[in-house]
Amino acid sequence: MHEIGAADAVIGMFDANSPEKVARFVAAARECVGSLAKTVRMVLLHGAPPHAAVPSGAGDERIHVLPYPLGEPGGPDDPVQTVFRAYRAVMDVGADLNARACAIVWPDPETLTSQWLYNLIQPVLELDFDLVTPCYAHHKFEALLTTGVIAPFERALYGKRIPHPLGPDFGLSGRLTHHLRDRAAQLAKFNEWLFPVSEAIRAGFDICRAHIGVRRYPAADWTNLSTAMVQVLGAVFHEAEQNASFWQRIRGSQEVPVFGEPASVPGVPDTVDVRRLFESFQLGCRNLQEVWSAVLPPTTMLEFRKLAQLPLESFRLPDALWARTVYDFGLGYHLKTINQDHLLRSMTPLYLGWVVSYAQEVVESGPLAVEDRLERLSAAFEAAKPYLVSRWRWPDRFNP
Amino acid sequence: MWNQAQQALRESLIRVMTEFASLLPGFIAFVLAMLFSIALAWLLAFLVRRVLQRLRFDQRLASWGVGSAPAVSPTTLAARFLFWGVVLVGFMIGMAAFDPTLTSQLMLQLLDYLPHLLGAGLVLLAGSVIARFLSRSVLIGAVNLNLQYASLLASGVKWMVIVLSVAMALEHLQIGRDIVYLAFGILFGGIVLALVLAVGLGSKELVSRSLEKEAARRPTETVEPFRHF
Repeated sequence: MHEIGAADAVIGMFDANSPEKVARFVAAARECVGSLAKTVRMVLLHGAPPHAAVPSGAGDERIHVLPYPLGEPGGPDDPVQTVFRAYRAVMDVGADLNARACAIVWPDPETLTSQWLYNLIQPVLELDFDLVTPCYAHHKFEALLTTGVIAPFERALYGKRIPHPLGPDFGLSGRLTHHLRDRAAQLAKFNEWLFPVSEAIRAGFDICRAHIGVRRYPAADWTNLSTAMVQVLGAVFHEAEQNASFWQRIRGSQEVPVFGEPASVPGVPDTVDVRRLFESFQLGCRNLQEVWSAVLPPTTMLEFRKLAQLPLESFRLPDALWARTVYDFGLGYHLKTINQDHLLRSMTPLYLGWVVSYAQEVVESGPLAVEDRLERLSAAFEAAKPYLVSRWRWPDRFNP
Repeated sequence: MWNQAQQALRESLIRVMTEFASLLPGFIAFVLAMLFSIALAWLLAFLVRRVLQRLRFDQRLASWGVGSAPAVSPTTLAARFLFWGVVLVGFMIGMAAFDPTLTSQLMLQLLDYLPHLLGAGLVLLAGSVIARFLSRSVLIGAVNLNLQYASLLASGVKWMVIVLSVAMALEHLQIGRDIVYLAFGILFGGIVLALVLAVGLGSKELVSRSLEKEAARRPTETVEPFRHF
């Protein structure tokens, strides 16, 4: 890096651990650099072993390719922490090289295009935005945890309409990179995590979102769904705990500028079988009453008991009930009313109940109707925010 | 003869009254010790209860998986334990006023037994915490795996741990060793056998239906469209 000296953009590609993936990465980056209005010097970080035969970018002065340990997404560590370490690695390099833009990307190598990289760094380099959040193209039954829990929760808390607030692909300005690197160093002393979106919102940086392409999601692993919920929702609720004094003041939400064109998603299913999910929900309602009663008020428990007795065809989980339930679990996580691992795992049947309700509503809906449906869900989360604020501030008064 | 009877009566009365008079200070000391210890016990129990309530002792124990009986909270239990402990000390002080050697013998035996008592208490407490924690873990895990007999499994695990900890506590207390070993073996083995029978034979149809459903679903899982993240 001493030889490189400085760069305009640093991009780290997560999971680029083979020469073929790195080659696609370099080709996409070369095309991206050619599309930008001005010439930029770009450094590409990949996780392939240093001795692997990867393209070096030689012959193109604009691009330098460096092996750099970014972590393995399929490794033994918590995937959320693995991603955060990758962010830190890219930010460290970006700050050291005084880069005007940094990006961390984690695409499916088959779907990586120059547009993916361009849409992440062009708003930073040419339009002076500080944070570019991704808009992935996916069909209505993908990214369900994000659309059903994380996105509306984060939108209600932080007041910005960001469909994928946990990324993992982000574009960062040099200013934001330095800010996040300092913040990450402070948080590392307490073994805390870094959340680019909430940090950027708190510090008043300019945020936008960009359509970057189709994201393929892995098939549902039913035996490990609850583990994944613990890891992901644990990070989200932990973030809410850290920023409680900030989000309690925010009301409503604002749209952020959006760039790029949404991609079409092939192979949208028009039938779904939700019987197994509904059985999981009913089994949870029968067996987990004692666990849920530690965080859910009696009225909510009663509503779930009634819903579990409905026939599948008429099962619909009201948005207001779902929003309050998510907030109650977030509050339970904060108060540690029961072991946090148990708490988040026990939420799995309720989440599957929401999936059943959502799937039955949108199975025959087109993209615009689905978007409208999710907008109503987010509005319900915003409307229920005073409930969360009251319970957070006075937990004893609202203790179930 | 009548004079001799009167003399004997007078002497026995004097002996009894003398004995009573010699016991009276000890009795008064005993009553005073009891009254004082009850007052002190009440005060200490009140203070401990207030402190534990301030520290949210019950909620913290609940978060660690230690439950409480429906009528008695851990705070109340701790306060009562302290109350009766102080009263017991006062009782022994009062008894020492009657016969000093009686209490010293009692104290020696009690001190010898105290480590066993404490060990048994710790074993029971740890067993209770572990039983509730494991039971809840098994319950949630089994529900997430869509096992219909989740609560049966969780109950079985909980009672196995409780039976084990009670047997260990009784062994610490040196109470009925052989019969405790035998009872433990029968109970523990019985619980395991009951679980095995319920899962393997008694619920054979239920389990096989549940497993058939899971197996039948597996081919369709590959075409299930749901992706969570």
